[in-house]
Amino acid sequence: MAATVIGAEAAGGRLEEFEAMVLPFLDDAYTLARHLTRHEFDAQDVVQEASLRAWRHFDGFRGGNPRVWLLTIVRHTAYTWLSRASHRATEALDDVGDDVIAAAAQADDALAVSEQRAVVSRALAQLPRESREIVVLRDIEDLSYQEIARVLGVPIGTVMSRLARARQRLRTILSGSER
Amino acid sequence: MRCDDVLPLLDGYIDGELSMPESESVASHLAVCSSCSTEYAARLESVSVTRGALQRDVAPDMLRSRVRASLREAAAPRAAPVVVESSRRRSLVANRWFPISIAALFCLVVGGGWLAAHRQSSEGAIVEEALESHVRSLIGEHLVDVPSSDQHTVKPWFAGKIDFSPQVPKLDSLGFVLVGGRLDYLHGRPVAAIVYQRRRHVINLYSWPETDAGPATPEQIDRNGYHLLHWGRDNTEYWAVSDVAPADLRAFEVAFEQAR
Ligand SMILES: [Zn+2]
Repeated sequence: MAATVIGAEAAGGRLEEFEAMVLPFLDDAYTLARHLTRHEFDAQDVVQEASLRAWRHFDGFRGGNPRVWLLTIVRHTAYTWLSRASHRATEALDDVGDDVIAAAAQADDALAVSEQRAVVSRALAQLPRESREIVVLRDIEDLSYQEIARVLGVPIGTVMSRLARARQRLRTILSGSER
Repeated sequence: MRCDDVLPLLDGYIDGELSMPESESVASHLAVCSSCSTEYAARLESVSVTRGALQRDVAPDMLRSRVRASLREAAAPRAAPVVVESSRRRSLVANRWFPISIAALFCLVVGGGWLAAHRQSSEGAIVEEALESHVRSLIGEHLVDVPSSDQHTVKPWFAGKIDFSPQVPKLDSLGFVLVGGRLDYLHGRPVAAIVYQRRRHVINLYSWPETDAGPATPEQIDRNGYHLLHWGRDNTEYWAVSDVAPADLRAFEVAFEQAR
């Protein structure tokens, strides 16, 4: 049934192996994509595209940490996606966004556990992308400096200085919003 | 260590990412330097607030289904999914009809039950087509032609595109948010697809006029993690497809029938 609904026969065990290894990190992928795109539905498109890219490059994946590998691909996909999407950001598509965002906002409000969570989320969303992604990778995804270095493709020293700067920015915004 | 050497290491210290000797030097400096230890306390507090407040998102179920579906599509031996899709679909239908038409002929010869058999088989075809359409609407960027949460925008949009006026009740208060409408094709004819959302799940409601619409009591069909609910009312055929829990789909049908 699956095959008739969705397509021809799947490529058997290899796909299953990929799904078992990579799909457990879909939450991580979605989290990073959502913070990079700052949009729930854009994030879904990015994660879908990234999953397909990952699948296409699965043969080249030689061990290592699948979560770090997937996040690296998600990040690349998000950047490509954002550069592609920027020119049409203000066009008709916004109508789609507004409706869906309104619906999503309702759900988010219902889920917002605390005022503090909303405040911090908003502050994070204001950070430049370079700062935002490193805070997400460290303080939400809980990656080590080494892992972050691999996702970002920079030396560990850069991770440390970028993270310190990003947290400093976040602190500045948060101390401003307290008043 | 001097303050200027310590400050760049504070975040690494907080994260436990320093080497043992570095970490010890920072600790002994903090014990004697009040300005650095004030800075350290401020950073530590801010980091713990951030980490406490921000949580990992949970990927919506709809995304999971989309990813799985598109992976299967991609893993299929053939490329060029769009072209292949329509031809594959046609051949599927053709293949399915061949044995069925023999069965139907047999029923006719034996006498009786032909209508029932015909109805059953055409229903099977609709199940397949509705599921394909639902999954396709989630995979592509084509969930809706007319994106709107306002039924007074969605309903008139179909005028002139389709030979009937679909029911588009607003069900937000019942937890089914109107997302928009789409023109689709099922059962060899254009149909209205009204799209609702239940939390993170999408519900496609297909409808079209049918003199022999049925059944009055909704019939539930489960396939591959998706659920279909099928019913007929006032010479209109309704098919709701979603991956929401069956109970939610039932609730949707009740809400829809009460509101329309
Ligand atoms: Zn000092």
